[in-house]
Amino acid sequence: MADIVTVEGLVKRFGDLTAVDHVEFSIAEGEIFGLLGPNGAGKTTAISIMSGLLDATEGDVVVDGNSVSKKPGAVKRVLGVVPQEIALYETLSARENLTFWGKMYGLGGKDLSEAVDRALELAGLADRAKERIEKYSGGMKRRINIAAGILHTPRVLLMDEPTVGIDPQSRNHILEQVKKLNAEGMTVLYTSHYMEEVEFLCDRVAIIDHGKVIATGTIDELRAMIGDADVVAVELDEPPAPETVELVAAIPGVSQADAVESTLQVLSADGGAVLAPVVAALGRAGAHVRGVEVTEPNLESVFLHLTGKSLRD
Amino acid sequence: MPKLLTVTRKDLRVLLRDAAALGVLLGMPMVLIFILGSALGGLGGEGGDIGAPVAIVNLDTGARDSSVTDVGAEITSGLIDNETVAGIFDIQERDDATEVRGEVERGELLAAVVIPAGFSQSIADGDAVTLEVLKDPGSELSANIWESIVRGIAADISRVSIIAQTAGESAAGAGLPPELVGATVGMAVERATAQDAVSPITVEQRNQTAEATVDIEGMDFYALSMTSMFLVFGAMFGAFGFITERRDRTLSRLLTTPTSRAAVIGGKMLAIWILGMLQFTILYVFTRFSFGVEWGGDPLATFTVAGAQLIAVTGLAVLIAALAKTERGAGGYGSLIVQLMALIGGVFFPITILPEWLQPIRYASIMGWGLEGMSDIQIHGAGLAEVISPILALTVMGVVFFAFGIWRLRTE
Repeated sequence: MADIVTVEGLVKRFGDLTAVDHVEFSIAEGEIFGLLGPNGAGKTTAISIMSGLLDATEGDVVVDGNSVSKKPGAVKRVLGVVPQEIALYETLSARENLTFWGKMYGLGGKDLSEAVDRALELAGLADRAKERIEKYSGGMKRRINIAAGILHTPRVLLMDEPTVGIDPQSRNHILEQVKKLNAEGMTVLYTSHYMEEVEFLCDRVAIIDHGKVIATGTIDELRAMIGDADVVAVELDEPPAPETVELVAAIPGVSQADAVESTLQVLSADGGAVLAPVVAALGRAGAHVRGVEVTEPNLESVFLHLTGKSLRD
Repeated sequence: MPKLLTVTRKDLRVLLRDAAALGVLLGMPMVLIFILGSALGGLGGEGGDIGAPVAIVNLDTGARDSSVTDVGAEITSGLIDNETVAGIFDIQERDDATEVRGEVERGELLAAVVIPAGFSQSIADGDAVTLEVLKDPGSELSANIWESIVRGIAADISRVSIIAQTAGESAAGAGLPPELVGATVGMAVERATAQDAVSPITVEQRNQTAEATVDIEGMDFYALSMTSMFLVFGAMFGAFGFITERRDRTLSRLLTTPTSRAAVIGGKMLAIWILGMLQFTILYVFTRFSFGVEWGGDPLATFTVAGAQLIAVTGLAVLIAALAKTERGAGGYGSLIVQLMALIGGVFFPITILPEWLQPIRYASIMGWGLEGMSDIQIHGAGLAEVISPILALTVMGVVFFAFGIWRLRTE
């Protein structure tokens, strides 16, 4: 598939702060592309530039052949945007909100009413369409927030952390929605700091930290950056002291050890072999082990491997 | 344009569902007009009967030719017999002009009209004549109503007289039907002042120099001033609209749609303007029919001034939204600006009680200009052409506020 979005050397500075630092990636038409990074990594700033809300300090974004800096109107016609915040009118009903946003995207007449009905069905809230948004739960608001961005069936959907602060049921509903939209041909850029969501949804991922893309690839390609290592996650009573982490890192067969809150993550080519020495070393250091798990590498461990810190930091 | 109107419709829907805002914009002024008007204006009786004492001194004894209408007598009986005039004033028929002048000077009479001797004959001869209106300057509003009525009558007499003479008929045809007097009541002065240019009758106004007494018709005054002030409060709520949308990120979301910034901001400003006009219309009708407030004889001019005031208000809304980061900030800026403008604009008291050198300060206030236009219509019977200055000034204010505001307004 040809690329429908190309981000070229994107830089955004706010005074002395560089929020986006020479970011580059491209998204093929029809894929779900993840932008994974902790809070404050620059994901929202990048989305704001891509959607024409902010001007880039340097670089450009090309969507469907149009530069967002030169032809923002043409780009906006192709995009749907789901912001991180619930950007809806609380005193209007779901139907009134969707009708309004549909008109803002240029829909009208029968097309608009059909689009609103379809979006309400997709959100699973057709039976509560006349209720004011202020009466909805957080999860229901999130679903309408997404519905408002897809009314006009955009070719590219930018979703900025669309599941923040909601219950697991609504989160699953949203993730299924995204899958369904993508299956219908919509290209999706999905930003999140939830590794599980990105792993579940995305074909390819760019990992971003401090405004810089530090790795890009498919999930398997990113996992391969750690090699064939196992991840040994040792849950402790309390966060381990730095000297305890160093003690574990020095054990033969351990390639890396990092503390993520009260969990010690250990990378090793043979997780089973290092398990006993690690637990013994922790015991000697006075740490109380509550549980141990040996898993395959995931994006969390990739991020840890690349940055030395957790996605939740 | 359709998207601009979509934004406007949405904003109106949101605003009309805000019970607190509607309470402030509609309920508060109604309550304040009632309380202040009742306390200071002598509310009571049908149609706001004020009962202010005025006098007519008719020194005219008719024309030499007895077939010619005794215009002095017609004016006198017309005023005394007219129910509307009688509802507003306690009219005394007097003989001694000097004595009456003294009573006006001492504030015992609110106003008076002196019909000079030979008035009818002069009209019959086609000579210029003068009606003398005496006013207590401390009772400006009532006295101006009296003067307006006299001006209207004078103009009507002039018109009838001119028509009769042009038609080559006897001046006897220039009799003044009582209903003509009634037609002039209610400050139908626009016609009267317009006819002055060709009228052989002039109305000479004399403010007596007695110490002013506070005897204003509070309901009329406060209807204008409170309405004018609460129209400006609309700017604060308009600013809230911008700030709330900025906080809730709906404003930035709007700008991610293929909708221009001009359509978004223009739509929101139009909503503020329309809500203001709706507010004005409701207060106009409410005060007119509940309290008998006279807004003047030219509703088109009154509504045009209100519309211009609301242009200034929408500009001010953008400026406040640009200055304030939060609703609380907008409330602070808004209250400060509204109260300052109200104070210097003559909302709480007639600006004429300030020293003359200080009175131009009202031109820094939206309410100052608005009240100037509306009270010109109410008191002096001005028409649209005569209130062009306040209309232009308010429009320019709106443009200047908007220009400063849009320069600083953040959408993120």
